[in-house]
Amino acid sequence: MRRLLAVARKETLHLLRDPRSLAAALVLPVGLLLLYGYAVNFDLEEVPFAVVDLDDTKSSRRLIEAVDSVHGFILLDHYYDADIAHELFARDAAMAVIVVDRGFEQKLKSGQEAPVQVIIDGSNSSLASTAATYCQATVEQAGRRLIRDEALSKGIPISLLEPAIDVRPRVLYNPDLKTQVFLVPGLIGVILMLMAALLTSGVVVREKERGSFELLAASPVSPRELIVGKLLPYLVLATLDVVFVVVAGRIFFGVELQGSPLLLLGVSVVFVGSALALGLLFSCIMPTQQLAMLLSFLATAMPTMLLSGFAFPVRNMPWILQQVAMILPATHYIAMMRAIILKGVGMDIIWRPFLAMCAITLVLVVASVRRFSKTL
Amino acid sequence: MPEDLAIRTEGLTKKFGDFTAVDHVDLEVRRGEVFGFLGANGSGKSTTIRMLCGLLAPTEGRAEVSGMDVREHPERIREVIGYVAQFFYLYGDMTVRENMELFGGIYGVPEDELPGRIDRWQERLDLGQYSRVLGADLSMGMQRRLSLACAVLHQPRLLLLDEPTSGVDPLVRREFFDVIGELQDEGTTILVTTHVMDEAERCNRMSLMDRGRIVAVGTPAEIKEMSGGRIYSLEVRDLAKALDLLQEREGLRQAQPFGRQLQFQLAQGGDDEAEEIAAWLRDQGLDVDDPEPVRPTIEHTFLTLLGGSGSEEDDGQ
Repeated sequence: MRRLLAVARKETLHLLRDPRSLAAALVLPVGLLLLYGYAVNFDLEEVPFAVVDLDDTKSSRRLIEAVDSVHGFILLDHYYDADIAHELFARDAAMAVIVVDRGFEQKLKSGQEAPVQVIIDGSNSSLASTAATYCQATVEQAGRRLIRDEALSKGIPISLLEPAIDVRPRVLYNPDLKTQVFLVPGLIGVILMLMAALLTSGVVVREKERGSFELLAASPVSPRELIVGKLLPYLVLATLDVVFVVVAGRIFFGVELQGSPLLLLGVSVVFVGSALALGLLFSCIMPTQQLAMLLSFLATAMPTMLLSGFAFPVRNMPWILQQVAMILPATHYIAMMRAIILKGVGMDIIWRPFLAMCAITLVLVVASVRRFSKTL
Repeated sequence: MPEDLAIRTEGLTKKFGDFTAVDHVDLEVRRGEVFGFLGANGSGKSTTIRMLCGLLAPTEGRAEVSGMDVREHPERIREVIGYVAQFFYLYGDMTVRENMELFGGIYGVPEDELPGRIDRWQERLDLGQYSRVLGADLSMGMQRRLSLACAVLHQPRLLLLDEPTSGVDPLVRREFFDVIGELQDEGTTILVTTHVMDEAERCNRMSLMDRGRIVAVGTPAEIKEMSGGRIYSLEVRDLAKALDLLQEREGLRQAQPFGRQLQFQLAQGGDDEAEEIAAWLRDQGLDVDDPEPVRPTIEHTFLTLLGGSGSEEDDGQ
């Protein structure tokens, strides 16, 4: 214990004597959160659309006015040929083209189905599906109002027009379906994984490069004391990072913590522990600091972003990739972070991923100790 | 292993690929002595020391430190040795005192004793006023003192010093050997590598290493005797030409410039043979004084044994 504390104190001194790296370690995670948080956005903020009104009647004009009045829908111009869609989409000028066919008003008045075509730019599938749903809902709503007005003018009771089943979706945890609310908890996981692994990727190989490793190796300090002693100060630093990014997520993206702050902190400490241990492991096996950093970056950034469920649900992945995802600590952490931050659940719900993550952390720490060799 | 041996190696060998850095070294260092470990750069001294510390695994042979095998009990050995590496490997971003506290800590010096020991060593090695100075800001001499201080805080039974005085002035070097003498008085065994000959003079015994092999072991006096033939010094005007001529001549073990003089060692014989060489040089048209006999030094043995032909190396083995 005495040796372990001596090593921990030495690592703390290294950290404190290098204020620039220390500042980077504390500021960078928040900076990354802001960068990604603002850059990555699947929300549909506005739908620029064009209209091809072949009917050109009072009803068709009212339909278009109704759509235009919906927040976010921006009417660009009127055209007279549906082929204009290709040109507008090619220039990225519009996202949707609404085509009202000849005879729209007539069909409406005679009680027939009056189809309205909505052409969507599908080159960005996630935006397109949102836009398609949005456009459909908007046009249908505008249409219903037209029919209702028509019915009223003919003296038909409105009650007859109401649909038999009225579906009213109520979205829990993220009522406005904002990307950031979904994104931020996962982003915290990705950023911490990356930063924590980078933090420790140099700490053993640096000693080898400077030669101080020789003195440590010639001393009776054991690999376990050395690895754990080196981990401790970085665990404190990374835990500070956790607090910073969670608070920044609340301030900048309005992602409020619904669950217990203590639970969040406890889960986060185990998680950053796994990332720090991974960095240390690379530091033990790589010959230079640069290589250790590069490996840490590659081994954390890519798999975590792609496979951890940060952006793409793990359950949609092929079986083999799901197995890979399960050995990534971030997969479990991000699932727990969403549960704690957004849903406010407790340990009784998340104990499974928590145990999985603890096991991964333990394996990584033990691997670092094993791979740490006191020979030159 | 007899009780009175601090280090014993048998056929200790270290190979790096095809290169044999340490070649079947048999070494015995007695408890309580200051043992000089001499040899040219790259002769295998540091590699031997690193094997004794358990930093490198021997390729062949065995080594025992304080009666413990380096392969079987590396951790127990590390507790009883102190190691000063060839370069300043301490932490430049930590102060003198912080470095000492670290090594006191990892060597398990009791917490209540550590401050007192640090104070004593700071005092003894004149480090007191630098207590709060960062390692990186120390002069080389001070860095050397700090390296020594960090290695002795835990009162090691055996102190391994790998060129502790390289790059420092003679004054610091003398102080260093004074401290080494004091440590010896307190019962510490000291193995010190060097290629500075006046340091070697201060050792109880020493060994001479050449290309991975130990070619001579003995007290300073015994080592000097091993230089072989008698040595003479000549005052000569054209040193370079005289050297060229002597390279050709039979009956000489070695000839080299020594300051403005020329020193040569006879394979055999004494004053008459030396006179003969001087006369021969004069015949060649050189302006030469009478040869003066020179007392052999360790350096002469060093040059004789290391500079000689292959057959002499085999003799050493």
